[in-house]
Amino acid sequence: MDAEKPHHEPSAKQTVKRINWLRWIVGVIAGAYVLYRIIIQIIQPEYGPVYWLGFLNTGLIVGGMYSLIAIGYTLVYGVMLLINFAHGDIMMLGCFAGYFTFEFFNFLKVGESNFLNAYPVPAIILAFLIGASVSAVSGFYLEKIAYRPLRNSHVRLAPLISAVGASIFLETAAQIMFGANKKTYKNPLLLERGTGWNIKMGDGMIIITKTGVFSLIMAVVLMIALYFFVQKTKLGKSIRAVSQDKNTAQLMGINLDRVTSQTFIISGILAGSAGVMWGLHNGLFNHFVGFLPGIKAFTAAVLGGIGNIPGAMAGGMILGIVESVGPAFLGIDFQLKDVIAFTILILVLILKPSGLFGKSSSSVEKV
Amino acid sequence: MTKKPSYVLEAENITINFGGLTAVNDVSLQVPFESIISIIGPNGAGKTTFFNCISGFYACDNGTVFFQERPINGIPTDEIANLGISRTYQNIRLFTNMSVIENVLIGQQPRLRSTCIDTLFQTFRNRREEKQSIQKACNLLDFVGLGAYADDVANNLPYGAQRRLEIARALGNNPHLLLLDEPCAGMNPHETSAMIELINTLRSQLKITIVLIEHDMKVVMNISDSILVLDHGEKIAQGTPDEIQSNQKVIEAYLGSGTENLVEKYSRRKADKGKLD
Amino acid sequence: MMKTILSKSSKFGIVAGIILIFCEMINLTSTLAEILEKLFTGGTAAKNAITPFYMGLVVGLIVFFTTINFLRTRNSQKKYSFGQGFFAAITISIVSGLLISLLNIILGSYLVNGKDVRVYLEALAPDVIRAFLFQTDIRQAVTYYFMSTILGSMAALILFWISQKTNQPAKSVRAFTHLKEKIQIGRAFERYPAIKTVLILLLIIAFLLLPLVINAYTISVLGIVLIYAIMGLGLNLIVGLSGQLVFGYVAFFALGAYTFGLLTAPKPFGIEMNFWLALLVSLIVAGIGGFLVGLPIMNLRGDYLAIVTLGFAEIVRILINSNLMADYTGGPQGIKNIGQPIQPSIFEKYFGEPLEDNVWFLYLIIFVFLIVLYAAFRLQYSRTGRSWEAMREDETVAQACGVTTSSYKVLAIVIGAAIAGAAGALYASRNTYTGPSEYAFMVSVNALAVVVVGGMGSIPGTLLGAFIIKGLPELLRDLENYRMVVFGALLIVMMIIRPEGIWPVKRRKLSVAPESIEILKEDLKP
Repeated sequence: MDAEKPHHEPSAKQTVKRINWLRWIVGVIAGAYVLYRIIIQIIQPEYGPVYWLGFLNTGLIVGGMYSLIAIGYTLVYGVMLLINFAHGDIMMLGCFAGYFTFEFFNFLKVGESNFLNAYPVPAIILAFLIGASVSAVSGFYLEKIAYRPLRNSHVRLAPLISAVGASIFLETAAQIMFGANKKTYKNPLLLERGTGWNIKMGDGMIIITKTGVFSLIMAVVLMIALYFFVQKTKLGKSIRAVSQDKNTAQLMGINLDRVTSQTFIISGILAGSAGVMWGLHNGLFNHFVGFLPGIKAFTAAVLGGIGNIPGAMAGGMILGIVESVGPAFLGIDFQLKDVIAFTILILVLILKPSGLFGKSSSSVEKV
Repeated sequence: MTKKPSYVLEAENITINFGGLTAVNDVSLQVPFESIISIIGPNGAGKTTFFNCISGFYACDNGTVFFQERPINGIPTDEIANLGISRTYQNIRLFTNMSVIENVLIGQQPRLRSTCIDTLFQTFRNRREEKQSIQKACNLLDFVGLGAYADDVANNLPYGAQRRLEIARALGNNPHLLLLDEPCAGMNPHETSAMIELINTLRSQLKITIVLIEHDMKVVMNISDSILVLDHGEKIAQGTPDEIQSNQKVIEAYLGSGTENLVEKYSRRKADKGKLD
Repeated sequence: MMKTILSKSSKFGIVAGIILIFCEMINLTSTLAEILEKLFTGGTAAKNAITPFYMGLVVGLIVFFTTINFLRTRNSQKKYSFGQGFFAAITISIVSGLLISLLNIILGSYLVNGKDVRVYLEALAPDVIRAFLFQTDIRQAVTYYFMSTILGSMAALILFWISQKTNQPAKSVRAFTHLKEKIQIGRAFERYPAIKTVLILLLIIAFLLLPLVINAYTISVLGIVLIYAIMGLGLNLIVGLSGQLVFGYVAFFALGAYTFGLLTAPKPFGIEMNFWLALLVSLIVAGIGGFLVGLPIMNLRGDYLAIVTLGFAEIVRILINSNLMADYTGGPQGIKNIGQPIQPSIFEKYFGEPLEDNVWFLYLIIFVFLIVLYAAFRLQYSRTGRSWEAMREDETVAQACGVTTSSYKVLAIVIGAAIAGAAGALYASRNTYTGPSEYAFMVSVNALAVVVVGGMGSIPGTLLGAFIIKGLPELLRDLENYRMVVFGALLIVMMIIRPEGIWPVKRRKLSVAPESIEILKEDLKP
């Protein structure tokens, strides 16, 4: 008896081969273009080293913020295998909270001036605390209302759709409550936007802003704190255990509900801080402020390997730098900055979904 | 093809490693046409892993699997279905939200040829094929005894019926070889006998070769032409039911060492009773 | 026992309080009060003179439902005794009253001091705050708030107690279950298939006559609803049937719209192609786009797939908007003077005068809609549709049954994209102008909501969804601002209580009488 001839539809093997082919083509084209630009920059640079350092500076600052938000994504994904689509909006809430805090301190009269400028350091600390708390609480309730009931849903897409719903809800509620117009952060004079130091270099100047330095230091401090938290504390270990193997962790006596809630609280704290930083550094914001950074931070988390915390940190920094340096480097319009982030996202997910540092996706499905 | 292949399936020196662990170590198996072969062994012996390799879900690190003398290593699972191999699953994987008859229709996929263009323009070929495939599906359901459930949602079926539905689905592509993963798991004695009867009918009426994994020894001893015993990923015995029952190594694998007396007692009792119940 | 009741009811009270605060901060309370007043008195109450009664009514209702919810939660023993219930109701009303009064005291003092809160909370104009304060001073207002909360919770308690005593479920619960049953409309069709045919015929006739009799506004709304229905049908193939969650659907919509625009507008290319040809080309281009997107993302899981498609859509939007591509796409200004379909003269001959443009266009949309509906219907109840559904249910097993998952996945996206392209072309032509601002992420979300809320994988569900998502807000113009907020909440709630949608998909009855086993044996010869 003859073995059955394969069906007349294009065989799966052929299509898979074609896919890998396509991936190679995409990768090679991308790589070639980058190489081409590098060569051009070396031979006939369009920008002097001063500019590059300036871009690098911007990149580090924004990268720090992306990292903080990205850690939130990666933590939640590790524990729940869910992309918390509303995470960017958690950051937005923190941004608003910080704004209102500063406004209040600005309003509070102390002697000749106001609380904000009389006691800038406590003001800033309080603003961060309040911003982080608001985001943490929001994250806590977000999980409780929108995600926990769907944990065992028989519809695979349900949690993600719920996440989108939550995101829209938060954004539009903020829009109705606070208006669609952009607001401006009132910085304490100590940390006034745009002020800083100008460092002469060659025949140019690098501008380093106070808010920039502050943001970067703050971000690094928070990341270090988080790292130690996850490594050393009991809760951190519980989170890591649940990320690895949910069922075994439960068998070991870890309360899944509590760990999940606490994960959201921690990611909220980080996102809220990033929100306040964003407001201090960039000034203008409205209810949509979390949308783009949210997606970019997600890109960063994927870039570093989703579920991998140091990866998220690295991914954030890398994305920030690439995004800032990118337009000049690639010779494209600065308007298209966001396209870089999205392109990276697509390229990473298509070519190497496990990211730069993630565990390889050779997870064989249990049959 | 010029000469008829001697075996439906031939697995040569299959080795499967997961990281540092060797799940299956150098196991070989030959499956003659229209035979029923059982694979048994204690839990963790590597039975399902071996199965998954034959059916194309896992790649083996060493060795080759021949289907009618054609190597099928690394062929994607849909092409394996095209070739004429079907399987069922240890923990019943039906298309839960689809109806029973729709499940069976999916199983016929390798045999259906109409494309979406045909569908959109409702060509004669499409309409005829739909009618034929539905008729075949109903015949299959009637054959396994599920005729009454045809339009019910698969999720709502009782457990035993779900297992039979999986088999009906697997028959859709006119398989030469049917792989059953624990077809009698979780069944009461009544359902088990019905399943035994069904499996025998599959071979006798439909001339299908069957390889199955099973834990229920009654079933295994009753229907198998030959039994392959695995333990810790290695083949420790293969033979007829009688041979396996009195095999020292097999008994040790299941009950632990130091059971020589048990073997004697067992064989004596068997001789007394005449046939194992 | 009392302690747990205390803690539990205070938690419920806090929840009620937060809901009240939230509703006030987005100005929902006064808007609802206004609507209720209009409803009951029929008059058009001026915005700054909302009768206090209706404010209290809204507040009371919120507390009412919260209390009902509390009383309905069964504890390990039987339900609460009247005493316990009373205690709980009081707690709920006091806690929520406290919270809402606090907010209003703050707002009121701002008002009294002449400060405009709109700097911070834009929704709260001075008259709105006056409405919140029941048009009196702060102290009175607080009293009224407590009155409303207490009355609301007491009413809930009494209603619940009565229903318990008479052993019938509370009226509200009964009404709710009735509604739930009514929603399972599909069952009626099953019992009397003739109804279905008659209904469909009626619908078709209605459809054909409708554009002639309705006014311009309704024509416009119907046009949008149908365009979204077309999109919904396309997305239904991708998300509902084959289970690939695509967030970037608007990209294909935009692709179709822009292709059509560029082909028929005088600038920038001046091609000015025939309407139907351009429509076809847009469809094909969008389909090709779908192919290019679908091919590389084949191996991605649900969440990643969603985000990648979102990325694609955003890239498309940014590029369309950019100066870089402005020469080709018109940049932020978009494309003007997009081509219109020419009315065939038979209308003029039949009616004596040509149809109005928008009426004619609506017929066009209906025509395309019917074609897409037919295609979607055929595809769903065919081998292709079943293969898609199998992939959605269990991809690994589907592949092992012989379904070439990769091909089918791409096929779904290609067809879905083509349908979106057609919808986009219609959309662009209808507006005669299009620009990048119209293709934001929200359009994708709208389309997704149409499928998800209506019923994933269900064609009548999708149509219902289009009407709900796009049609209903038009009818409820007053609540226009709250559309999106309700939207977001709706998505979450739907996923929790009814993920399969309002009109879930119904399996078709396919079975026929079996034949003899001899025929089967013949059939199954390998």
